[in-house]
Amino acid sequence: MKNTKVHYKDYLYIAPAVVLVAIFFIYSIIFTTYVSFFDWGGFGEMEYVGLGNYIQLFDNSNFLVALGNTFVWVFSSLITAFFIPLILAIMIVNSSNTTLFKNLLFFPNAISVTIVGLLMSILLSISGMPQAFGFLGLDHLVKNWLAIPYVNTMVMIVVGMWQGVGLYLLLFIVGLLSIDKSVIEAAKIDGAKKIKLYTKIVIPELKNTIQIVILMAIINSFKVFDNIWIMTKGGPFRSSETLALTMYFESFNNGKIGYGAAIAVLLSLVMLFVSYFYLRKSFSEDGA
Amino acid sequence: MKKLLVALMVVVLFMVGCSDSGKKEITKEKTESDQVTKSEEKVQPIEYWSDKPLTADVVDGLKSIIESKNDVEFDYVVYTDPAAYSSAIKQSISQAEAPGMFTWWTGSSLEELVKEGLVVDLTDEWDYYEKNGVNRDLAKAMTYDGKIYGAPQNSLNFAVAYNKELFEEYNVHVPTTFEEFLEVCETFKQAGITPIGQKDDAWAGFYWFQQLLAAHDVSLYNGICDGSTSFEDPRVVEVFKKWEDMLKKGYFSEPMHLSNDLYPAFVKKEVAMMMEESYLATDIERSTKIEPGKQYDIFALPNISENTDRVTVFYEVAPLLVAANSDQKDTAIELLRTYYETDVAQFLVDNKGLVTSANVKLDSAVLANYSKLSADAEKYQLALRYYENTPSELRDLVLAELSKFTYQASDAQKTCEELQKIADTYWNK
Repeated sequence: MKNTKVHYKDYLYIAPAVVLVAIFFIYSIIFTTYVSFFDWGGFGEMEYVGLGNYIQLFDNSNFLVALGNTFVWVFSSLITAFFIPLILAIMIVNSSNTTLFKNLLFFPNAISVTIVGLLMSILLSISGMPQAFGFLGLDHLVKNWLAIPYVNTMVMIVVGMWQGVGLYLLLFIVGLLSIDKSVIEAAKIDGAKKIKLYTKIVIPELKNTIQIVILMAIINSFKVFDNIWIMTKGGPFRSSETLALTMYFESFNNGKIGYGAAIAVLLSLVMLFVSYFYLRKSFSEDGA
Repeated sequence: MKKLLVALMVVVLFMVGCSDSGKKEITKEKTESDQVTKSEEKVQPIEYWSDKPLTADVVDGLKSIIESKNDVEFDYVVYTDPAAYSSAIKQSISQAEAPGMFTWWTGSSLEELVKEGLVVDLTDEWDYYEKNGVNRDLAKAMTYDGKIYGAPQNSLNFAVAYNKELFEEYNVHVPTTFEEFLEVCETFKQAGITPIGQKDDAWAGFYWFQQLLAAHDVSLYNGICDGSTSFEDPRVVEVFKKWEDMLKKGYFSEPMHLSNDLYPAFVKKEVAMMMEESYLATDIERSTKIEPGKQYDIFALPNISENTDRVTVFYEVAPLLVAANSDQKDTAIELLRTYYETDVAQFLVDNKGLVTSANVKLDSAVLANYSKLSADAEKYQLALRYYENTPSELRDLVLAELSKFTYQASDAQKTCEELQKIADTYWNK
């Protein structure tokens, strides 16, 4: 006979977490969505504009540039979060000094994003690393690399990659070490050489880890903010802004809370859309 | 039973953790007697919010001076990010818990607070400020419908800072016309020295924009600010073409980080001049120990020969406002009456280069020269800088376009057309 008694006291354990999530997450989502239909400066009356904020987005060249930059970050993250950490993980797992290399490569991840941003701003300024080009006779390259429109985005992606590779690397190492060795040995006995071994056996075995890493990379790159804010503040002339920065800029710098909320809603919808279809495809391939 | 107790403890701890820990209350308890002795007087808390960071020793010093003159517990609360600061003010300003006094920006930013009735009318208080050496002209930027809504936190002027030793080395004199200024630029360019350093702050794209317009005709600048002059006006396009010419001739440096790159380059004579506000004097002297008056000085950018008006000096007034809904409102108003007295004003000048009163001694010759620009009405006329002199919604879009132009991503005619499109979108609403 099933025990259908409701244990109300159990709900007390989860109550704090539920309250926190409700206040800081669910309420925030509802309020942000609500505000996105209004023209509001943060105080005073809210003026209802319907879809006006959303329509205005696509007329705004800054938004379109930010959208483009965001997708550059996302596509770049697929390379920097997948190929490079995977190759490094394979090399580390097969090396004799796994712990040393693992720690060295994870170290940048342990540094605060703000500190890295500040350090890079100094290193990449005119009196920093670009001076090396001057010594090589390439004076035209002695510039503040973070002040060159669009080039600075690629520079920041490289900095982000340097800092972020450690986390994905660890995940891949754990994934590689958890592969059943008998499968690998059987493949080797069957004559599978290195490349075939990895492409036909190892990577398929790593599928779950790869799915997690790619999903994490996509979400992190959609919401990238800290690096860019510290290094360029989205400049020069808003050319390195991503959607997260545009949302912040419009809401808090320009005092257009409703407009910024519309960007936040749109960004969330894009992330949901991408994540949903990615996960759906992944699970359907699993035969779930 | 045990589970229930533990669960209840978790909830109680959570509620305690989330509860308001209470404001700082310096109020001592009243005795039963109706007579309140001096030691038992209420010390009023007063918070001063600002986006201008001060070091801990300067905050302590300021606190000490202010508390010695007033019965207050003074707290200086700083936000280092202007956007975060603006947001914090907007969220709290209509509450009783709002800070008593806070810094803000003039122009449309102040106007929106005034329209909502969120700041106190300080018109009657200005007699106290003037008595302590504050220039009444500064009130213009904080005046709406004949009422003054702020007191000056600081007043800054724009000028061209130049490396005096470089000028002497190359036998170059301080230019008295814009044409001479261009010759100075060419001289340094030929000598392999960058004539004008520019910083990589995109919001500062208006510095040369306002200055070049005013050098030709200040009415062009005023017309651009209020929308009565088109960016495509041939005279404005002409100014942009001259600016483009200066950029193409390499008179401007690559955008540089101000303190990391531009200051050292200026001191090392790699850059001859830069356009900056008065805070430059304190900043650069502190960070590089450059000697004011001996190694560097300033001049106001002169007019073109045909323009016989007084030379235009752009200024900024950072207003100090009192929140109308704050519990600390009355305390703030009283405190401001003593804020411009010599001891406070001198402390702010010595430690942060913030000039509010004429009754202070300026150790830096350059800072003194900056202040003289606004005092010499025969030679100079003052104009509020572009940042506050045009609606913020329009300004932010214009600044992005000006920044693009400065970085040589656009040409003069196209830039003027783009700017006019932006202006039309705003003014035709």
